[in-house]
Amino acid sequence: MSALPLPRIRRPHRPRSERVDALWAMFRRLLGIPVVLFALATLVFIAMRLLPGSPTASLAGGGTNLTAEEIAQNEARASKALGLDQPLLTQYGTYLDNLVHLRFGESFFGSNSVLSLLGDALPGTIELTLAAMTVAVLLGVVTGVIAALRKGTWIDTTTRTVATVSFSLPWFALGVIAIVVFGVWLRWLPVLGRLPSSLDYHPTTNFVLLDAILQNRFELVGPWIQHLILPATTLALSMAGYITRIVRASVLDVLGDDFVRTARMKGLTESAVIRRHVLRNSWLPIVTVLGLQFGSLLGGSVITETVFSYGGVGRLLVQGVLQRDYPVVQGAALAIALLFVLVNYAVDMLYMILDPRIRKG
Amino acid sequence: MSDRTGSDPGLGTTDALAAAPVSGGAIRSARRGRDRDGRDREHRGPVAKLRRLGIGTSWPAKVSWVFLVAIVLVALAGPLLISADPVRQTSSAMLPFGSPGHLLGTDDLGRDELARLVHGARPLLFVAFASTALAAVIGTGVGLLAGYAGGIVEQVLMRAVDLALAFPSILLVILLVAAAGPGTTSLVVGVGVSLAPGLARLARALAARETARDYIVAARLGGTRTPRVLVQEILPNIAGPMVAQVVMTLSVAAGFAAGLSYLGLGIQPPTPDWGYMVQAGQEFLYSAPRLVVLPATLTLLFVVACNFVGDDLRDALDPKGTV
Amino acid sequence: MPDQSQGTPALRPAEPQVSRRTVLRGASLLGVGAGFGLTPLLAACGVADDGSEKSGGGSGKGGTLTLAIDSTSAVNDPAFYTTLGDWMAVDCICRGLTFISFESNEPTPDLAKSWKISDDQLTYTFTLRDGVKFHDGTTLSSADVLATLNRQFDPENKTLPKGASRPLASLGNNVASLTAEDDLTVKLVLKAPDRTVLAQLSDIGGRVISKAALDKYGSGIGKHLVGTGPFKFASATSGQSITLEAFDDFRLGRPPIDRLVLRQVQDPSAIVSSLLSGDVSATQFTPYSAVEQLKSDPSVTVHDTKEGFDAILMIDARRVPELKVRKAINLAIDRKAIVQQAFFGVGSEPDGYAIPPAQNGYDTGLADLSTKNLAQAKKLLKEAGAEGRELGLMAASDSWHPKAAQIVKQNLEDAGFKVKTTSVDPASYFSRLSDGKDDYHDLMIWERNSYVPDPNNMVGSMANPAGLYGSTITGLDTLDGVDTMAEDLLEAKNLPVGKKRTAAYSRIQRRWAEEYMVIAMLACSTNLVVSGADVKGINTAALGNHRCFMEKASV
Repeated sequence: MSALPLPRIRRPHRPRSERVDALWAMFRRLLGIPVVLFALATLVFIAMRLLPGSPTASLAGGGTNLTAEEIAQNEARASKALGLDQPLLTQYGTYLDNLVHLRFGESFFGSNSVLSLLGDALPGTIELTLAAMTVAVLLGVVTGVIAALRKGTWIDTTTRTVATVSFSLPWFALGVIAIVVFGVWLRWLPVLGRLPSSLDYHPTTNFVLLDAILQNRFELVGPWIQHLILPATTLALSMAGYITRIVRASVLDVLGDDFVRTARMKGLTESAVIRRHVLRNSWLPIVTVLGLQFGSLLGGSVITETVFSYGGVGRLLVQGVLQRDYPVVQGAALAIALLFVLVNYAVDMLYMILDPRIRKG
Repeated sequence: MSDRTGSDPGLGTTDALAAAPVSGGAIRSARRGRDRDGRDREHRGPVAKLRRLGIGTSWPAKVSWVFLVAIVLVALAGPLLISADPVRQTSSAMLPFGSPGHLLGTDDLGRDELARLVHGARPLLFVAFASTALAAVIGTGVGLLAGYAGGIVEQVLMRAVDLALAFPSILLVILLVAAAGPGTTSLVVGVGVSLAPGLARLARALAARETARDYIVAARLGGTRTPRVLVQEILPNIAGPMVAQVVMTLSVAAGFAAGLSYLGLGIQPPTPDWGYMVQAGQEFLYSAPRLVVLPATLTLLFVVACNFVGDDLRDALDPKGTV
Repeated sequence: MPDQSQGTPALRPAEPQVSRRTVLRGASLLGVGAGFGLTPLLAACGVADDGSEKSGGGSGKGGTLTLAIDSTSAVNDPAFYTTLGDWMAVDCICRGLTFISFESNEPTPDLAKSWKISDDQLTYTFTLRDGVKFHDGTTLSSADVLATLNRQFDPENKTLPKGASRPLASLGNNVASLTAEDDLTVKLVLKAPDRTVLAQLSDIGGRVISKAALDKYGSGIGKHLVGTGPFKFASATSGQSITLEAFDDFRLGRPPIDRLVLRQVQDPSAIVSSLLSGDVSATQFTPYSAVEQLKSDPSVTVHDTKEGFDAILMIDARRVPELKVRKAINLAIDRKAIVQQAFFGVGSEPDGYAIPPAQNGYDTGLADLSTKNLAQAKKLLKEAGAEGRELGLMAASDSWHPKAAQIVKQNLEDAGFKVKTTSVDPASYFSRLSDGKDDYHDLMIWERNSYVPDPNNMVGSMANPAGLYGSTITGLDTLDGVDTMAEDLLEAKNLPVGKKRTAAYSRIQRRWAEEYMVIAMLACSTNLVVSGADVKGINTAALGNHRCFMEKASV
């Protein structure tokens, strides 16, 4: 079977050969990754060039006191400098050749290398995503477990209702409201960016936490967390509701399993049963879902990034499309897709390796 | 059997599709208990009929059904009942709540807010339903074929699904809008294509399972032609879980569409639309919060209602807990 | 709108410059999708006081001033427009031969301490100030000026990055020679007289870069810009912020603040919120809709800056060939509604036609060219037999444009037109303007802004039949008798500032409107400058024109 392995709640014992099959499937999927990325690169390449509007028109327009003729000359010059005067097929060939040699090109607007732009944008996005997921998992697991243990009671109903509402929240308005309440009215938290302007920060890796350690500047950590709270919580709220549901279902499922019954019969306390058996066996679906979420957050938190002026890869992508900055869009799309594919692949591997039911099999 | 039916709704929205597979069974079993209780009481009339179908079994679900039906009715019939023009600008801008002739006041261009809210329901509903339908058709088609055919066909189709999953959906929509202009068409296609992979995975898994069953094997051996097997034999047998999942998709589509509209990628002014109204009203967050709060709340309620109704329908249509 | 921040306007002609607004826009405005809803192209440029850590050191009070900007590509190069914010940084890092403060419209000496202009108006001899230090420690000499200006004038210059827009290219086309007489004397010889040279040299494109740095970094100078300005470059992160530090040896004394941070803030509501929260303490990109709210809040100050840009409706004369119909369009427009509803009162009706109140040559005698008269509009439309004519209207999707488009659509429908509108992301907008075959090329809403306030920059650009507006966009060049317009414009441009010049421009404008009507004026407005109440000493008049003079600012 080719697709991602199917996480199942009720998984029959698998014979060893099935496990080998599964490993083989994973290996084949690994081989498929470059194919998928190549197809994606090609699609984005074509799509960008099919778009109306050209980067050179924008570049050449820098001076509208010029005559129409002078603008046309400017445009031709820019077009030549950027290689856009070549036939499309030649451009595509050049692009693929560069790609194979891991050259991702330069932005049309200022010649920044795409890699350095990604180096500026990705860390912010990854920080934000991980922080949001941490909050979401904490919230979601606690509420999910409680709801499962109190199944059928008002606690359960309320939790599930709140969870459903929270993952339906119009997250686009949520950030704006959070800013008004916590930033403007209460003035508890900063509303802009990753660090205060007054802090002198020279990125090494651009991951603030990592840099704080590398540069031995732990005074960065406090302000960094302050700046992270609002955007991360905004993103996390909707995710948490969703995790609550998964955790609840997953825990309920495991609670019905034989080994839990056995554990209880052995006289283990309820909390020990939950810690040692239930949670350990119900986190797999959670991880799988988180993998997918991670991917969609990478390219997807455009609004959060914009509202909180949190320079990230989502905005880089959107801005690239609007400016018709082909190399930036191509590079950013590829980077997002690569991370998405790798993270999900890793999750599936983890799933296979750690699934107790497979391991025991 | 449960498949991981993740999709990438983008924009940081939560992925209800992925939630569905795991949460379904357990929630369902809890509800079925109540469901039986309900039937024991022998209700009569249409409500009882619904109850026998297993629909409207919890109070959030009931409320949601009512809200959803109401909002669809308002979207369809409301514009006929409201005389105020949602587009016509007047000089009486920014009137507050309860102004004479303008129950909910007017917006920054002097247009009746109530009329805009009523008219503004249509685009969101249309995009949500149409893109879900598109996703259902693509997803079921691709998944069915892949699951049934297996081998190289399956390989190719499922790689395409992987590709679609990895393709940032915000990029897809922006490309569509840049190429075809903003509006419902771009939104429907963008949202529909973004949500299709999740459904395709589920359909493939279900179809593969059915294909291995004796009756299909028999039908194939008996020389039944492939399209016939697919449509007449397999499709009906996977319909229950698929429909349940499609309904869940509706809420994701609604949330996604509202977000895109908010980004200015959807319906263009002056046509009223909730998502755009939230975005435009945000300018008046401090001075006239109603202009953002009303459309945002309605959008929220619509998405919440879709979720509860989706849960409810899944319980009813997929009692085996496939999804 | 009354202008409190501006002193007595000098009646000297400053000459036209590259219009900043247009540059912006042309430069694909940052693609930040304002139009795309969220991000107004023109994002915010504000001064934010971070509160924390008012660092000492130096002569001033110290501290950090945070300006919110539209966007940053982390490239600061006077020869390459990337974003408004990037150029505001250039404005702080480098200084030019001349300087216009915007509190007065007159070019004053800066790096050039004096200049001589020959009687034939062709030769400019600049004497440089002695002993001016660059941030890299080198001393200003004529070699630096030559190296800088040659990047603007010569498209093949080796230090230009790919696609560089060279804002002074048009000046370069009129330059016969540029030479150094000695270490501190530069001679510029023109092919034809141009009274706007001194003003053009004050613009960001004319900012002088250290030759040593140019030699060292070549086309990568934008990442290591070295000038003589009050702030030196420290670091920049694309999409996030640019950090500048006070330059101790600045010619006019070290600025009071220690750090100037230009931070990208794109969401309009985020701009307002961060002004109120103090995360940003000033910006000229404040959304107009917030003006009342901000005026009533004691923690911020809303500055009155004079209206310096035109909101315009361009009409393609090739697609709307009847003058009567074009005039009917002009007569249908409700400018009061546009000022009130699209600009929230931050603006005025275009009484001086294409010349806004902030500029020399503003003549309210032209107010009749932009009045609403619906009955007359309907009458003209009937005479032309064009009732029910279908028109396509295109507007960028950011800032005030979509709202103005909605108002104009309604006005025209009231007059008897049928109007279909489209809103376009700003990057596509510029290229669609240049495409006469576009479905929506009948009517186009745009704006014209100038860094340097002069009639030539507004009228001279827009009414020139050979210019972008006159040919590509409106097709003015296809109409009868326009040849003499170009001659009149050249003549008016080279008149000394004064009544005669104003009269000449008024004459041209009247003819332009009455005989051709290819651009209807919608409103005059300004970028809304707002700062934290504790921020002092920022040049708000300049900031209102996207110019960034922060050498006296303190927090």
